[in-house]
Amino acid sequence: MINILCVCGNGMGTSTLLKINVRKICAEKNIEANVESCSFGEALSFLPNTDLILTSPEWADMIPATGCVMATTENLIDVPVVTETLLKAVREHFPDELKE
Amino acid sequence: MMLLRELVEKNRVCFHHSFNNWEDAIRAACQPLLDDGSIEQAYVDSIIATVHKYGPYIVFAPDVAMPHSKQGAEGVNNTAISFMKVEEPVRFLEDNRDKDARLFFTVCAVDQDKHLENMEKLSELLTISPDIIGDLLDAKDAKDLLLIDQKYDNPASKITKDKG
Repeated sequence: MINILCVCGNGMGTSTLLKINVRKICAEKNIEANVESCSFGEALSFLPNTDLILTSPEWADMIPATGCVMATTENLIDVPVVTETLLKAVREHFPDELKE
Repeated sequence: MMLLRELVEKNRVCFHHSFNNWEDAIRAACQPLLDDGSIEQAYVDSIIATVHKYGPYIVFAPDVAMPHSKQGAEGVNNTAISFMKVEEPVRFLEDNRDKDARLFFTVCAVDQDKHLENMEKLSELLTISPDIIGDLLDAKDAKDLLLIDQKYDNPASKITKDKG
């Protein structure tokens, strides 16, 4: 089980879209994950329970460095791109979670 | 696909040729929601201020922007989406054409569940086919949006998904 956090500026728009798409991709790829979203202001309180942060490049630098793995994607609705970003991070850092 | 038809039926769509700057584009993108009372001017100002502060992260894919601020922000009375298409790309950054946009989905929310439902509909629309962005860019009026809705609104092309 991976705890994934999708982060954007206000926790309302882009992070929500990303969460919806990541949930679909995880279901499709048989990745057991708990996917949530929040604003970067709220991210700090979520980080202790997060394994993998997904965000757009704009926010990556503003999120404090922790033990979490960070992956970024420029395009939040290009499903192949988001899928590849997610799979690359999972393959590198959580290989046991991958049942491809 | 229900979102486009819903937006047309609720008069939450508009079409423009060009804008002098992105601030004017956002004001126009918000107009249908201002007109039906979903939002007030304070929310429009807050969206523009957010982009000034953080940059155009609301452009979340090539040509696609989602003007929004916070859930429950000042000047938000409803949970809704509006659509705007601009012929000439709106430039957000002088040195990065990847942040140009012609399709605007303005989003406002007071109700979390309704908002999530709206975002699921938006996600479904924008991921239904690799051709959808091109189809929306070709649309000239509300009638064209209904034709796009019809084109994809059959069970075979629908992405099956659970509500989660």
